[in-house]
Amino acid sequence: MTTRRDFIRASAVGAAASAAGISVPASFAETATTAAPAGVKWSKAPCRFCGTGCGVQVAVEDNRVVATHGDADAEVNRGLNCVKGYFLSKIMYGNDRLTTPLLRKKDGQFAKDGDFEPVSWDEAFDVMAAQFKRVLKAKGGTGIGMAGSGQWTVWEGYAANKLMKAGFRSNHIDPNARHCMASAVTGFMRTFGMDEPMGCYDDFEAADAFVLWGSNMAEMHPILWTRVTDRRLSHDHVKVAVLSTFEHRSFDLADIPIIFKPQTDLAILNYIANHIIQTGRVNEDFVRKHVSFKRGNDDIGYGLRPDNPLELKAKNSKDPTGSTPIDFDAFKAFVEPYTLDYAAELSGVEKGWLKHLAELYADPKVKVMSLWTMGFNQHTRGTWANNMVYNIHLLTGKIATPGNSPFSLTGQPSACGTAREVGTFSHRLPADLVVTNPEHRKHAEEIWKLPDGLIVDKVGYHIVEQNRMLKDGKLNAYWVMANNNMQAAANLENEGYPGYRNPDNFIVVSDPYPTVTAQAADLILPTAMWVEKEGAYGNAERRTQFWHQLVKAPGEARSDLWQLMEFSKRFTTDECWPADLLAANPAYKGKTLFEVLYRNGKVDRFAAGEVEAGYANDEAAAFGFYPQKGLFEEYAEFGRGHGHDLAPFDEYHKARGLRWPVVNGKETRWRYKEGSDPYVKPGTDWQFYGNKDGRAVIWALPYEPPAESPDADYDLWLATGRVLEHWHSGSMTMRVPELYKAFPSAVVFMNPDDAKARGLKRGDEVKVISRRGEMRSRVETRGRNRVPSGLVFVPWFDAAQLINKTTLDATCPISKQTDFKKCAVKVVMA
Amino acid sequence: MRMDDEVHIASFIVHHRPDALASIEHLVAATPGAEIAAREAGRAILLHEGGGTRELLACMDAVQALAGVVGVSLVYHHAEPRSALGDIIQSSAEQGSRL
Repeated sequence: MTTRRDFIRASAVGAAASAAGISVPASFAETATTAAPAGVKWSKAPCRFCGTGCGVQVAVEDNRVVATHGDADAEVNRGLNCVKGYFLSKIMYGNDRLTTPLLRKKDGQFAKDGDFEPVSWDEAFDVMAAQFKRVLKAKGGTGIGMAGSGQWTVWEGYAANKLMKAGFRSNHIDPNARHCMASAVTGFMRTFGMDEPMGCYDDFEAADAFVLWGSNMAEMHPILWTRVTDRRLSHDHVKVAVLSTFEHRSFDLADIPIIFKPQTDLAILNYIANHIIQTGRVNEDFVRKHVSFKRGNDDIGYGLRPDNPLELKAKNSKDPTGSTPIDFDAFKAFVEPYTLDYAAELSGVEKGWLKHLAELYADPKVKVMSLWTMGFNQHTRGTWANNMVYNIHLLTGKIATPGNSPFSLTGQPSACGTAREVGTFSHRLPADLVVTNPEHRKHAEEIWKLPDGLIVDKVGYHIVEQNRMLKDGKLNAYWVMANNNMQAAANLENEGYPGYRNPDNFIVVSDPYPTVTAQAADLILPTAMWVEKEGAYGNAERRTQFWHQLVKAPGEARSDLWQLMEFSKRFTTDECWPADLLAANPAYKGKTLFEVLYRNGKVDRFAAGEVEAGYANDEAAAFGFYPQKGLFEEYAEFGRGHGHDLAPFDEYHKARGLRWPVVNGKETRWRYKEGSDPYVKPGTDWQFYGNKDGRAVIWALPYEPPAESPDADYDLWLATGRVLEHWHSGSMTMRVPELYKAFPSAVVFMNPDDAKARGLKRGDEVKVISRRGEMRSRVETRGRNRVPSGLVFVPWFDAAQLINKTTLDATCPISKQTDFKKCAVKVVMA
Repeated sequence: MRMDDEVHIASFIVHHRPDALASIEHLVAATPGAEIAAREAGRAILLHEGGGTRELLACMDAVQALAGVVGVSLVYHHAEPRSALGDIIQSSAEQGSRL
């Protein structure tokens, strides 16, 4: 006889054994699966959090998500979930979920200095449209901006991109992904002429060595870390190198542990290149056939405001992307000064470890996977760091074959799928096209069935610049969607907050919760999230994943897609486009933006009835057609036949995701390599077809110091980052009781000697002070992060401890991504 | 969520260096409601039965804190009233974190 208790225990063991690939012990083997209780329906969806893209199974009962578990059929996570993913379903049910639009009012009218009052969608959009029209009249589209997200679904990002770049003729749309992987993008573009990794997660089971460049995968990408761990623990020859500016949980698995001084990763990378050359381990055949060399402009400044002394002093702050072609010998001479001695002296790392590390890359028999996220990307030389890690893979030909994989991890669920592939950056159009290229603009206008010359040819404001332009009064109507940029952006007291509260500006924030950003706005729009709408995300390995709407959003909350499309009905082309353009294209005159952008015969060509039976779709019901499918199929036109091929819409509702390019129904695992990538010309072996000559570029780039370093007044490095339990600004995970309890407040991780020297002990309340601001926290000298003397680490998830009051808004001058890992602070008793 | 009369049954996978197995066994023996259900080179499956998520997370944290443990992943979590657990069943139940 089996009791329920026996059964549940057996199921628990069975699920874990199957996820771990361990055979189920006989004592638990009996009993099994299927028959769920009546009324519960299970459906697939990707996780809402990071860029790993784990598959989950979601149980719905009475319009409520009642359970989730790792999807055993999902290749990415094979039934596993991290603790965040495990409590995923609870993110929708926080007590303070927003269910109605809220407008700042006084005496029944909108007032910038008023208090938030509930209003109808009609009133919200009436006031918002009037404000946007005020700005349009005064300045045109250049006064309008939007901060979007790598958490937008693919079609939401695409619809927003059209509304901004075509509808309002403003390129001032940029995603929070700018803070996250812009340096990865510019790194890919400069080296390969094409965005996103060549390899995929299959590399985890093929590599002989893993090198973590600044990444703490154990906490930030725990499911991928289990794949690294499995590989390491089941194969004795496999080595793991972990590089960071402080010791964290990933060091538990490290064979080669390296703590380096901030910024000196650049010198270590050049030392490895030098070591490969000096020891005669260059893959000469590969380099001769598939590589070209360039020297990049140096002394490029720090992406601060143009009048900052650091920018005025820098030789190439106005031309950070410039370069000159060189040859192998010139590159060899360029990296020659980066000797073991010099790299050890700069980085503070023991020579033995550096040499071990260099040998992983140099040894032709070792297949290496390099992994990085914010350590490289949030770096005032972030683009360079990306270029330089490709250098060492290219010198050795260790690229685009199983296990040989420079792999840029991502932090948001659709940083790749939406921010990058859809091109919601201020310089981009879909499928790697850019607004500055006349042919690219024309191509986009053709696909969008819009007049020639409509898209503006100038790069718009990136997200860091948007805060500066709000403060300066150049950007006046601003819509923030699916991000928490007031908490996320650096130097918030001097740049972020003054811009939002500038009386000339009208700020709209769409969010499920009253975040720090929402509370700084004039109008808050309640947003449907995750499985409250039909969605698509693209993960870090080019995998596009779909889900159905599984429940209804609470109250008046509506999806970002509905908000964008519905709002577009309130504008006519005459209000947004120049008269001469309309005179030359009279067919567009008098039409609403909704008609020209979404009722264009393409986006609206699939009937609402085509939504899969058994699933709701609130947007199809509202608009009378299936907008997700229409938007996706129009968007897919950009990439099909150009190396970004997406499968037909319906395929994604069946598969557990597919990795693009999907050609003849087959996904691509390793790009640029003959035999695994259908775009590579037969007989070429490798072809880096993103560049016209088919060659990848090795870049000669130097070590340069950071924008700000500790000194007598501010004597500590500050690095910010995440912890396992919380995702980014914590707006979702802090509302899950289990996760909140596990890590309720941010702390200052500090070396015990540094604490002692300041008369501080564990638990003391302190102030972290920089030249830009200060915040209160508590000292932590133990726990999961062990920082070296001279550095403090503070996580940024806690809205009650805004560490970005202290951070510096210096960026990589090429990618415009902020360096959140290096600025100078002091810590004193509060 | 009412926790007072609920029983939480969960399983998680522990990735560890081979030499950490003894300390995991030691900890599990000292933790009420925990047992090692299966093990294989570098991996162990822990089964935990307790009164709530706080207890479960405390157990996971304790395992994670052991030297040589490199990862702890929750796989299965089920909660239901203690009174229902003695029922004799024919078929099966759903898996997942019941809210």
